[in-house]
Amino acid sequence: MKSLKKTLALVAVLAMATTSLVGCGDSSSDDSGSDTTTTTSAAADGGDDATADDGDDATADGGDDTSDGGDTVEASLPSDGTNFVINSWNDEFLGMVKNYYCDNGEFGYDNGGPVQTGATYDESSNTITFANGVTCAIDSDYLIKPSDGGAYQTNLDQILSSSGDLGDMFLAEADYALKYINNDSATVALTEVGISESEFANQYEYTIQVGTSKTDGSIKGSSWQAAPGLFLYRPSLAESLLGVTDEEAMQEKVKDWDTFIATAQEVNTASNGKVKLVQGIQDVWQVFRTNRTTSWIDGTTLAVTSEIEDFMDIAYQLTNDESGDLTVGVNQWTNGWNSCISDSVSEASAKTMGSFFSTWGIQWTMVSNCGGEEGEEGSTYGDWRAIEGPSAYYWGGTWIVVPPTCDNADIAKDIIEFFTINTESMQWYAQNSSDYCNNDIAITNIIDSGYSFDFLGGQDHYSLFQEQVKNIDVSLMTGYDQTINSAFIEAVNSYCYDGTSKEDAISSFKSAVADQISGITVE
Amino acid sequence: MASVANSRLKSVSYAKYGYIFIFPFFIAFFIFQLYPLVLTLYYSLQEYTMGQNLVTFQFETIGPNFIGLENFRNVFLNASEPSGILNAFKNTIIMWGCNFIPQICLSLLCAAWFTDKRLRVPGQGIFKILIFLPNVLTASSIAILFTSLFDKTGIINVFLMSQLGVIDTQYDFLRSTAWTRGLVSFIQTWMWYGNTMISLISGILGINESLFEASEIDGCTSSQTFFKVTIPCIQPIMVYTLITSIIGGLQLYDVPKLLSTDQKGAPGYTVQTVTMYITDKVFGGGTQDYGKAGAAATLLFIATCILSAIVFYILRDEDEVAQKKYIKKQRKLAKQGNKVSGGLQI
Repeated sequence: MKSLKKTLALVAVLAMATTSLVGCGDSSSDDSGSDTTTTTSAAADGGDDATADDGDDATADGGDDTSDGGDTVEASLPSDGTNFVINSWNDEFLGMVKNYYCDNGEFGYDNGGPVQTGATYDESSNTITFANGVTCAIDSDYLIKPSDGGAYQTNLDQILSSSGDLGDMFLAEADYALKYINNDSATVALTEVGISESEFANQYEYTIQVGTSKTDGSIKGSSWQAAPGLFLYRPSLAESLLGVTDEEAMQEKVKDWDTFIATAQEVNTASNGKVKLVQGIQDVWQVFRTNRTTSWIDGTTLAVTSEIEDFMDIAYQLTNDESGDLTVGVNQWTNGWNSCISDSVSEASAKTMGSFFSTWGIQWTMVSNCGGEEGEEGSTYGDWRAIEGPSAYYWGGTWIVVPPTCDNADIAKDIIEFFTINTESMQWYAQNSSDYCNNDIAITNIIDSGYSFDFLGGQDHYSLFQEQVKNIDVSLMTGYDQTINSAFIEAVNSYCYDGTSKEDAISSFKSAVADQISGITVE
Repeated sequence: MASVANSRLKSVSYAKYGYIFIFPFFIAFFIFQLYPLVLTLYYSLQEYTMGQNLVTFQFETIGPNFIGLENFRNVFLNASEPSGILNAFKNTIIMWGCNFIPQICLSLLCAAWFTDKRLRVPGQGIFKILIFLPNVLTASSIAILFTSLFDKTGIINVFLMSQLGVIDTQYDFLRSTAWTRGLVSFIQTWMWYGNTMISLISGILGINESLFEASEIDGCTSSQTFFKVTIPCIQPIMVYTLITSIIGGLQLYDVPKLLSTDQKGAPGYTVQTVTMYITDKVFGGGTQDYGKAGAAATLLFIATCILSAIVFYILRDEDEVAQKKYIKKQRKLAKQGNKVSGGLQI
């Protein structure tokens, strides 16, 4: 009996131990809206009557506005779906559709918007109804997977590997946009939804370059924003710590990396370590990485060039100065990183005098983290100025792409045109959101009409952006940038903060990448 | 007639209801445990990757093609690098050890106090609930809480600097290997010692009361009672606790994952556990390598089995083993005796 009990216990233990292997299999996810049935009868049911007239108006509007684009192409994807499914990692784009694209949105046609789309948003059912009657029920059709830890990409990859339904439209960030744009089973050329390539004429060159497939040269992704970056600094601190009173003098202080480090030392010493010039080395990398001359992957080899080592040296100098860490020493998107741009940090923490941000980062991240409205206690609103900084760079940007499973080509076309091609609607969007839209004519119009941004003390930073955006070079992007960058930042952190030698940090970085990306060679 | 009724009565069996009731478990077990388990072992011998081709930029799926033990070789290729699997095993075992030893001591102590007849701790119910409570919280929320506490700009730093004035610059706890590992172990201990205590209490309550009475009459001190009576009597429960803890410990995932700032085992992969290594191979943002992940998972399985076997061996009841050996020997001797005497039983 005793031995029986023992055997039973052992079996039970083994059964528990087996669970240690559970979850390693290939779990093909099918939560990607299998509800997009493509029955024409259903489309006919929901499609015609009610909003047919509005629909005609809308498409007519769209046609007029984009007539400056020239020739038209016939959509080859069907327009017979019943619901419109979008994949994204947050609800930023959802807010844009609700507030700008929908006629009854906060900035929609009914509230002064220039373009009537015929789409409406119903709050009680939380549903967007498009001009032709197709609906997007936000809870089931706007699918959000957070980008933390690569969950968003993983989800897309799983749907792709099981040949599942990617919906009608999805969004891709700069870091991995190429991975999907170069993949013909993930995205289609935008001509297939009826957008001709000549319509992209007003977009910035680099955004088109990213959106262009390397396999056949067709344009597959369209961005509503350009994301050139600037160096932001606080004039009040610059004056008290550096004696600098205007933007030109400040630019002189950070015109290249040597002067940048020298200024960082000056700021640290003058403030007794309470104020730093920059938040962390990750922010410096954000600038540095777009100024490399070689990309991470050269053929199939991971390229750790002298430029990479130069960056490691700069990072080391910034963090291991005689007078201490010249940066606040925080990683991006942490609490400390967010709070150090406001004045209301605890007396123990350092705050930052400068910050590298691109277009969306200023209107979205900085404004929400600066500590409140202008004049409020601890707020730095209004106490920021933008200058070029050590070099031109870009940071981020989002591309709208259409997967082959799209069965609402007409709506996809209309949304993409509304946000990324139509000058009027883009200008309206940029004016009301302070986002830097991807349309040079719209931006020029805004600047000419006397643009100023009170967060930057009434400065017109769009002109600076317009200068910078022409210098952006994206030829170095690879589809695995996000993965490689995060492994690299960890290596730099351990070199700067853990006392790891440079050689060890690089070799550990190489092996981490080799372990992650199959087929890559590291020497 | 009566005999027919009798035989009918005999044939009525309620066993089938038992089978019906356990059936759902087996369905769940086959679908969610056995099938993935077999699949994992299968994948570990296959080349099976999904990802972007570096030359053509196309997303491609390779496999599954049988490649023998190639995946295991790949797993061990960079094994001794900081991000490699040997270090993942090392980290896991260090964090498990630093968690288990204090945990078992603490829960034994609490269990002994709560079951002590002479001590009669007042408000036992409240204490038990309070001690068990951390286990009710999700590991992820606790990890997030500790991240914000020990963040470079977090409250611990503020307290140490402005309230106590012990340090004059902020200390980055989560960039220190010792601190991060220590925090993981602390959280695990804090969360699980209540649970262990409950099972130990049930073990102690199962001991025959007369043993304690006898020891008391013989003049045992309470520490003598504890070490000479309680501990030997709860050995089976201790084995159970140890084995479940080893299995759980080797699968340590959520707390170290969320506590490391890059979610991949920062600082420098020193809190990367084996399960983090496995998931990273498929969901890390690089190529999805099911073969490599399967191979690493198989290694974890083997390691779990070996460690459990060792524990069983060390904590076996030696008297019982000796007795068994003796019986076996006697039987053998008897058999031999039989042979000698030509099979005749005398």
